[in-house]
Amino acid sequence: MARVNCNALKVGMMVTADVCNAEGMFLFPAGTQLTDRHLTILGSWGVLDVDVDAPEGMTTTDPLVQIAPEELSRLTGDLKARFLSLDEGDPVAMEVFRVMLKREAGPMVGRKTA
Amino acid sequence: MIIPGINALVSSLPEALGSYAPTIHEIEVALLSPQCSLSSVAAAIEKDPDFTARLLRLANSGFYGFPHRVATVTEALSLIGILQVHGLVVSTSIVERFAGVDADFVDMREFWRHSLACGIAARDIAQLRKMRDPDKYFVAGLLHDVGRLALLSCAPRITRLVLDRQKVSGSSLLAAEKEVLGYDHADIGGVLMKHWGFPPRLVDAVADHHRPLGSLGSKENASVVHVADHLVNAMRLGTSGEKKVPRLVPGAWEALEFEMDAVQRLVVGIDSQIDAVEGAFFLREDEPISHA
Repeated sequence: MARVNCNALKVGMMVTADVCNAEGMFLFPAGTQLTDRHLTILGSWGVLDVDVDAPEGMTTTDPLVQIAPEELSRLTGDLKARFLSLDEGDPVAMEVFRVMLKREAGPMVGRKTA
Repeated sequence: MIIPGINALVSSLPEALGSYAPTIHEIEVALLSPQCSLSSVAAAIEKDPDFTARLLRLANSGFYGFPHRVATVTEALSLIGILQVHGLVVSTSIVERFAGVDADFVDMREFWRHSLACGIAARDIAQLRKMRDPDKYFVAGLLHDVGRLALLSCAPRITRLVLDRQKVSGSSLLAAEKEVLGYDHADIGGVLMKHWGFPPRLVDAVADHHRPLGSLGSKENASVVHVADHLVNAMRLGTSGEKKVPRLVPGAWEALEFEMDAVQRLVVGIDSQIDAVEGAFFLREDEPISHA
């Protein structure tokens, strides 16, 4: 069993605990086998992660520590260049930047560097 | 070239100010009638196959996440709400109105992807913030750049001047608009939204989405659209023509009183809905805008 980020959930996985949104509203019960429709519902209610019957360690690790340091450095530079002016002293602006970095690093996990 | 003031410019945009397509007008009449009922509105909607298809696709998409399939227009109206459908009717007619933008200026498919993503983000922000009628913010997000769209579509000579200025100065498109015109697309959008009869809180949210804390209306409403626009620009979901992600105005996030983890929550939500909502609005892959 593992707590898995919703981005990494796959159709067919089995939910091992009742799933609720952030306000505690019940969405579907433990034992549900995930379909495309469940994944969509999780996204539209902003659920971040759920308990599923999946290998330990699966995506519980930050993708930023799973990609090669040189890839992370290149990605960080590319992303910074995309912002008009990134205020590194502003914690909210930096949180947005960190979330974008993770979002773009996610698909690179497990990919071989050129 | 003489640069017109904002009112002169807006009144010179016939496409932007024109009346709605006949079927859209009929839906509006049914919605605003004192005898308005689910069945009278559904009957008017069903005369427009494009809008019917869009409404049902949207009702069945992850945007609403209803647990069962919505099969009829009447059911969609009762689940989504008549006022929200009114917003969708008007926005759809506006989407259809601006078809003829020069591809050199902006890719319209990308423009609408950006706008739809901003609508989703604004709705999710309002929902997370527990604001009243969060669905209304979808319309504000969807139409936040309608002023730029009017410029691109109806004022190509002015658009060319703005783009040339941006190229020379390396600034944002927003700054280039201000330098050339003395006002920007958000000001134009506010005037248009007012003309179309949107409620003041949506007019202000669009007009002030680049200066949320200076809004004379609700700073919170303007911050919803500003933060939505910033996140969607950072996520690179479509484009409104800006080459780089504009700055997040300090204090806008704080005006919404969110914790930091809301950034991740919102981004996950937007990513999971955008393709379905885009599919609901645009019926064919190769055709961004359906003409009645």
